[in-house]
This record gives sequence, structure tokens and C-alpha cells, in this order.
Amino acid sequence: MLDKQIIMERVRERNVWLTSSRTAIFAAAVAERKIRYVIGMWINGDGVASRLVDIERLEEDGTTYTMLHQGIPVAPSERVTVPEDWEFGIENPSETVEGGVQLYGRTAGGSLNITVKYWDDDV
Amino acid sequence: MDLLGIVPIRQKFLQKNYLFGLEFREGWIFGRTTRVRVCQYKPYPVIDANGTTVDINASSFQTALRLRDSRNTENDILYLEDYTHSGYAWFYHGALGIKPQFVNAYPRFPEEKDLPGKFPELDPIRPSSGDDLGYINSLNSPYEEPTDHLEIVITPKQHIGIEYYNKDASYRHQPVLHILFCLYWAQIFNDATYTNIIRRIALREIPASFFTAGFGEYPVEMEDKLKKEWGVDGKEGRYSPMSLSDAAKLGGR
Repeated sequence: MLDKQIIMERVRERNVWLTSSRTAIFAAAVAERKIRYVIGMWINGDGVASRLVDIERLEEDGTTYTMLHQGIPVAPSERVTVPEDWEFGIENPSETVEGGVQLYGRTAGGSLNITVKYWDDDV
Repeated sequence: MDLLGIVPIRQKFLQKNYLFGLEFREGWIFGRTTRVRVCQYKPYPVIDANGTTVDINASSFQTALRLRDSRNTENDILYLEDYTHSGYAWFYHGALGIKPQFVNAYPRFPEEKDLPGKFPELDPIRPSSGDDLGYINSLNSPYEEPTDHLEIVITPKQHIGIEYYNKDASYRHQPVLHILFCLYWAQIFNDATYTNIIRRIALREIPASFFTAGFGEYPVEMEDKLKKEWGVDGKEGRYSPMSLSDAAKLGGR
């Protein structure tokens, strides 16, 4: 078992802009030998209009997209937690992403900023 | 660290008047501690020969460094210049804790020679590639609690060198060590006076700690000068390093 301090040192963050095209959330698919625990996702409204956001997994086969969260409503001035009202904690992952898998997001219009916090089971 | 067989090094430190066997390439010598001093250097941010902080780039290697005292980089913290002190043999026994978890440390002892943890049938360990064996890191020897995952015994006139590899693909890291050792002054049992006690240690009839000088395929050699200074040169009725079988036979048993 990893203790909390070890996990805290491993917490990393990605911040990307989602558009109406599928946008990769991580820089690359998770390395095959690792498991990535997503512990927080936040989407910021664009200050203009209410938008809908989809979050998907691209499976290891490189072609299959699996929907994780469809049509997340984000009001213009809102900061939305995904899943809704998720309680953030380093030992409380909202998604477990296996090696070879990538996460994608896209909007139904406009560009929205998403922040993802995660840690990997190995360095 | 609650893994069976890996314990905090402080649990293995000897007290005064504890018995031990110390293995060199030539064989075993035996003795008891007369004086014990815990020596701790914490935190020890790793520095180079110039005293400059070592901050290793992401996915990069740091060549071997001695553990130099930042207050005077001429001094190697774990080096013993004299063979004896106060009329006793002396040597270090301890371990290193390390942080952060992204840095692997590859100690070589003697310096530039053996690495620990090599599987006998595998090719040589390559610290420069960040090989995933033969290292200590903060998971097997945590900074706050150095363990016997790598138990180090350093005899006089020996340096230890350590290479490092930063496994983090994104960030630079500076290795920080916790140097936790015991310095033992020891009476070496070196003639017929101690036949009985040596035999009983070898037969495991009385409690004694077993140490190994070095952690490679073989223990380090005991140079002639050290044998002489520690009185185990095999001359004038003195013992020389021996096998455990020979030790068990002492006294005609």
C-alpha cells in the first residue's frame, strides 16, 4: 500500500481547452505499465453561454470511444465538478484509467477549460 | 515499512558489548562492540565535488558522487581515515534514506565497483539508464526511516559512491538523503583467548549480529594493512579471517 505522503507527491495536473472536436486530456495515453487515478475534474464556464460537455475514454484498441459523462451542463459563470458534487480527495478517484487508455473531452459549441488532477500507481 | 525482512536500520544497530561476525572476502572475523556512536546527517541535500546543489533533470542521470560535507567538500562523510581509534578497530554500519520518490540512488561500494541487488544471472545494472533494479528509493528506504533494504558496512579507507537517476519524466528533482549510521569501536577476537566465544558464535549458540563488508557478489577484500592493524593477520598466534566451518572447529571440537 502506498501511504498518503507518497500519493500526495505524485499528484499532477492537466489543464486543457476543450473544443467541439474531441480533445485529448492527457499529453499521451497512459503508459501501459501504469494505472492512472483521476481524483478531480473541473470545467469552467466560458462566460458567454451555457454549454454541454462530453467526457469519453479512448480504449486501448485506439478506435473505441466509451462515454463516461454525457452532456454535462456548464453555465457561463459556473465551475462544474465532474461527476457532479464529487468530493475531492487523493484516495477517492472518480475514474480509473488503465494503461493504453486516453481521456477525451468535447463541447457542443465554444471552448471550455478543464482541469484534471490525477496520480499514477507507479513513477 | 512493515514488509517482512525489511526493517528500519535503527532496529539493527548494536549496543555496547554486543557480539558480531564481520565477513570479508577472505573469511570471517569476530568481535564485540566497546563503544557505539549514532551518526546522523539529515537532511543531506546531495551536492557535487564543488559543493553545488545537484538538481537532476527529468529522466536524467547523475554520475557518481561521494557524500561530501557541504561545510568542507574535501571531507567524505562516511570515510574513516585511520584503521583504528583509541586502540580499537572501528567501522560504520547503517543505511541511507532518500527522497523524493522519483529519484533512484545506485550506491557503489567500494566506490566505482559493486552495486547491490543484482540478480546473479542478469546483465550488469546500468544506473545511467535508470535500470529498475539495484537501487534504493523512498519506497524501499524512506527518507524518514532508512531501512536495511541496503545495509551498509564501511570499513576504514573505503569510499562509497552513489549514482542517481531521476525517473520523473516531467520535473527536475534534487535527491535529499538521510544518512543514518552507527560508528562502532570494536574489540576484535584475534587469538586463542577467544577460541570458545568464536566457536559459539559460529555455531549460533550465542546471539551475534552478522555483517558483510560490501554488497556485491563477494564481500570486499581485507587489505593487508587492515589485517595487521586489526590484529587478524595470522601471525604470532593471531587468527586470520576464517570460514564459519573453521570457526566452529576452534578449540578442537
